Amino acid sequence: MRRAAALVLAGLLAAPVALGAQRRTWHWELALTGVGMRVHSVSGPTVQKLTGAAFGGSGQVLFANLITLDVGYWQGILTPSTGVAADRDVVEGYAQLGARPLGWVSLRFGPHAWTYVSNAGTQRWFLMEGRARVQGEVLPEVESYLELWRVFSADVNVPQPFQTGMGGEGGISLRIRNVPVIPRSIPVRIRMAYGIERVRMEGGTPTTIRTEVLDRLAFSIGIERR
Amino acid sequence: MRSGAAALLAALVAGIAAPPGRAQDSTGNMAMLGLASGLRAYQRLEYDSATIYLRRALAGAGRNDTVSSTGRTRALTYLGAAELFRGRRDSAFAAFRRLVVHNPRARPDPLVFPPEVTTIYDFAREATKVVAPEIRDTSIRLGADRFRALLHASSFHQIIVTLEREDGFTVRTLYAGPISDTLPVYWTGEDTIFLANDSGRLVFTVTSLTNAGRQARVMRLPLDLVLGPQDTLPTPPPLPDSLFLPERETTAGLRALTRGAGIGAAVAVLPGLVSGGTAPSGSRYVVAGGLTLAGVIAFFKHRPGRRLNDNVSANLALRGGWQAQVDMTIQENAIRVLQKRLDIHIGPPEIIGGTQ
Repeated sequence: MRRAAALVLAGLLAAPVALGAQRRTWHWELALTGVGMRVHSVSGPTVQKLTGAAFGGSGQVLFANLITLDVGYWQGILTPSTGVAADRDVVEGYAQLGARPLGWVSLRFGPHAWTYVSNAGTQRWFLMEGRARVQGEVLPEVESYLELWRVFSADVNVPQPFQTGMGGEGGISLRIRNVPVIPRSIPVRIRMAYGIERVRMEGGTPTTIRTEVLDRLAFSIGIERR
Repeated sequence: MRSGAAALLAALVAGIAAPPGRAQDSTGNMAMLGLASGLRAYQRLEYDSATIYLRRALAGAGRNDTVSSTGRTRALTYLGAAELFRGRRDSAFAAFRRLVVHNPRARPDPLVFPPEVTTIYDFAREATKVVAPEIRDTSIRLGADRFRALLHASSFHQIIVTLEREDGFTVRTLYAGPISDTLPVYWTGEDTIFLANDSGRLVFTVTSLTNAGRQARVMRLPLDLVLGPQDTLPTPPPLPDSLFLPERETTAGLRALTRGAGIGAAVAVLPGLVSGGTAPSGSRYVVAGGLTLAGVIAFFKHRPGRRLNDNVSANLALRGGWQAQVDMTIQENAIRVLQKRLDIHIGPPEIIGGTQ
């Protein structure tokens, strides 16, 4: 945790030095997002499977082709696919600051949180994550990316303390320039991505192990200015 | 005998020890000091003293004791004005005539000198018919360029501009007619056929005529001429390979396949890597399939060895431009080989007649 945080901090400190050589411009991206979620929650002998959809938005600001700020928020309802448990409302969001040292690599660090609200109560998950992402152009208007991350700390209102967490996401996006009404300088981008995240908490004995696996299929449509 | 030898030795030592440059500087400064003293005396309205100092500065004490051309112009201007204020109108007129001869373009500043001074200067200028040439050492291409001499006249009069051999034979009359202020005169250099060898001398002569048509003043400028081959242009160097675009696909297709199908495969195995295969969703295959499809399409679009027509056209245009430059250089050099270059060096002028 400390090492990764130090790495990200070093990257951010080095950023102003590199800024002098970069063109000082702002780039941004805004998107409406729909997420199909599957949650596989194992707490001791209890297994819960929930599915549902959430809707919201996400955005990114890129300064001087180097500093990035990513934000996202969506909310929806998860329905148990097995058993008779009650529905849960889910609210999820993140805000992460990062750097893009190379055109095809970016690093970011920051909080990622979600909340389940049900009749039984509210369960809050607050994770600090460090993410690394590689991206590239497949075809002139088609880009792909792969992102891997690690959870460095978690604050969850469940009895078990945090042990490990990691995740990954891959996706493909298509940029469309000739969209009616929208200016050509602000192209539309359609993105499809699959991501999965696993957080493991352990209380000391095997019976108190808790594992939360979130599986997301996300579609987004947005505009960008680059 | 001994005393004579000692005197000779002392003279030799003094001759060796004395820095010649310093001696020249001191005598040169004397003339400039005289000019400065004359100007100060003029400012104090001591016109008698001013004329003495200025005449001394203009006369000089030795070969190197002269004022500069600008200083001479100032000295003559102030001398003319001082003589006028002393009541010596004829001397003022003579001083201004010398000024006109020295520099036909010089004028007493009307902000400094009163109208009496500028008026008498105008009379002197009108009565003095001189021409000052503005010519520099130059090289011309025979048959392509022209030698240019810019003539500045003191006042309107008739002139004859000729090129002569040193023996006085007129090779070519460049101009005969009036001149009022400034007149450019051109020479193509073709008369160099009169040269016995590839070098020689002609004299650029400007004859100023009086209103009665008599020779008032002749200025002769020797032109040392050297004929030589014309310089040719260097052939443009071959274009470096770095300027050319690749004409066939190399690794772009493979890179695109990696970015598409590679990441697609990674997405397909993500659940196994992240969650140990716990509850993997089949939806990942949608994304993985899309990525793989895009990668495969990109691979076939940029498959290795595929001809890049846009790049081929761009390279052809680049090569065509370079070849055009080469052809143009060859044509120009073919012309230059037939042409000759004439180097013209201007010698010191010789003035005959008129006020020196």
